[in-house]
Amino acid sequence: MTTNYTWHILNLVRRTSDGMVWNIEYKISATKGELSTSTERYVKVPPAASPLPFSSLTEAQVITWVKERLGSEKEQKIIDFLDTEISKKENKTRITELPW
Amino acid sequence: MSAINVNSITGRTGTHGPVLTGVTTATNGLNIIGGNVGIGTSVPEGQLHLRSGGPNVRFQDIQGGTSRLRMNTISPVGGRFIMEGDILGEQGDDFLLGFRVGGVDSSSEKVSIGIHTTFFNSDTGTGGDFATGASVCIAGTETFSSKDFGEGDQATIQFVNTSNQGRTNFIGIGSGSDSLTISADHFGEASVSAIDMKIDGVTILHLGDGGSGNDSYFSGGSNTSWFNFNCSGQNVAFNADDSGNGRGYTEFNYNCTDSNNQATGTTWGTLSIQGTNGTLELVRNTNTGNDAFLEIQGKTSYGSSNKITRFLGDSDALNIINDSPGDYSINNSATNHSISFANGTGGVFIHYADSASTNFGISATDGVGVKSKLIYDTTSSSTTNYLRISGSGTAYELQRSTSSRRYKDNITNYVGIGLTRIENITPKTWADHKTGEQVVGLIAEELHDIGFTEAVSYSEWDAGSELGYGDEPSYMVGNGTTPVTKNGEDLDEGVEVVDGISDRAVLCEMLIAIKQLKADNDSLRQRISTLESN
Repeated sequence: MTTNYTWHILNLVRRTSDGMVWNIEYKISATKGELSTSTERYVKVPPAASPLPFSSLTEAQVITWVKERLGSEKEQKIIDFLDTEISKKENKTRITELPW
Repeated sequence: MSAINVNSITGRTGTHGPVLTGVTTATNGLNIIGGNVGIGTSVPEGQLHLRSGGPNVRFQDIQGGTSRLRMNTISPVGGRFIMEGDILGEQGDDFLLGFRVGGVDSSSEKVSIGIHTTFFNSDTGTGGDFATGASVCIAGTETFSSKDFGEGDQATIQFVNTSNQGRTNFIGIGSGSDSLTISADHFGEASVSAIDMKIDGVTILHLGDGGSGNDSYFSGGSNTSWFNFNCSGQNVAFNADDSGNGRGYTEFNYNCTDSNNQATGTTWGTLSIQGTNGTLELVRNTNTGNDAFLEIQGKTSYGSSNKITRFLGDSDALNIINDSPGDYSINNSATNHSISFANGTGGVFIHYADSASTNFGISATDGVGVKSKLIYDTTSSSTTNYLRISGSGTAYELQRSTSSRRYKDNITNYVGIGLTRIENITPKTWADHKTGEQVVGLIAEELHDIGFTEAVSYSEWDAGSELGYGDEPSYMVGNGTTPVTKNGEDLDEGVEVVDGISDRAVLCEMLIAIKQLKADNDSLRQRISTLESN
């Protein structure tokens, strides 16, 4: 069974002076069957040479910025972390409940 | 007898006898046996044919007797009473069929129209019964110009079943896909009492008697619809997509206020959902961008009495309270244990017994940080189990620092420099940048500069306005001293910079230095001993 990873942008922080977005808060969720886990993080992006209007930004566009900023190595570290968390849930050996 | 053409008959009575012998007698009146009689026509097309510019038949009762216009038929195909108006098709000609009661006391006199299968006795007003399929048909494009159907102080249209034969009274308007039907089983012998309304073939309203298969229900079908019950300001409304009336999308409104402004038992303000699972679901529509939420509006005052929501278990209650403008809390009514959520920089706090001495929280009111007097007040003289904050980005963790080999892998001997390194370390004293507290210790950058990197901790630079990120400098800027990067690279977001020191590493280097001193000391002692023995 494969694990699906979903990226969501939680919030954008921008400068009041010119509206430039410089901090992106994001969340990555991993789902494998009925098991799921997630991690929330942020990444900062340098000022753009040709900034886009804030109102025109889309979640897909910003997710692209996050991945570019992270780079493949850091992105893979996050994926590995989520896989480990899913694996812990898959290999759960303890059940805590009462019989009555 | 051949036809008789009579232009004018002047009747005579008394001793002169019949006017036309063989045609009429004083006793039997005028008898026509066979043939047709025409008035105003020489070619009568019926047994009695009146033809003129305004043919008129009048029955005038001058003695208060019973006036009748009767038509008896025995034909199996049924009798017909037909009146036709405007047969030339001229415009503007009205046709009137009227039943009128005149006189001084007309208000107490009534006009009735009866349709029966058997003879109706107009003298007694009884007899006959409604026939299957008997009907009154009103059709055409003309409308009543001065009177509406059924207008009047006591005007009624009544369908009454008086025979207790289990028959159903029925009113129908329209048929098939668009219709309104009202039916009633007068004596309750069958569960058929109902009102049904259909539009486009969909039953939008059914009011039944509650019997088997005859429940009451409302369905909006695929059309805009909403229910509204309103009685003296107590309002219950079901509404679906009534955006035309400013009601937005699907709504359920219940507005009921008693003298205590709260729900009490089952009499006031109770919404009960009973089922197998007893669940209340709020589900958004197919548009994933839409919200589905439960909104409860509390009072505009503040304090513990403003319970917006209350959850009850075996005893006491868990309340959601509007503490102060913009601040909310969840608290146990019995113990005043609560979790509060303030707006602005007020933060989030866990309150034990609502005491400032036992709070634990996160606040930015006095600078970003975790606050708890309770933690400070809980002391220990043990030197083990230190706490450590480890991590990066948003993933910092509070950890217990241990020394057991059980938590250590790949243990090897540390090879330090000892005295050479120690002699290059100069203890310093300073005032804390934030609190002003005077402190004695070491400077991390100085350890880094002498190459004692094992004792230095490095952190990724969390950049701010000093590097063009945001409007405020990084929280790591401190007093503005230029950061020292780990590998000498330019400062940037994520680059590791000198941030702290490890006292243990310094301690280990001191241990090595002491051992070196002891070795030197032992060697000198040995030499002194040798010299003295000579």
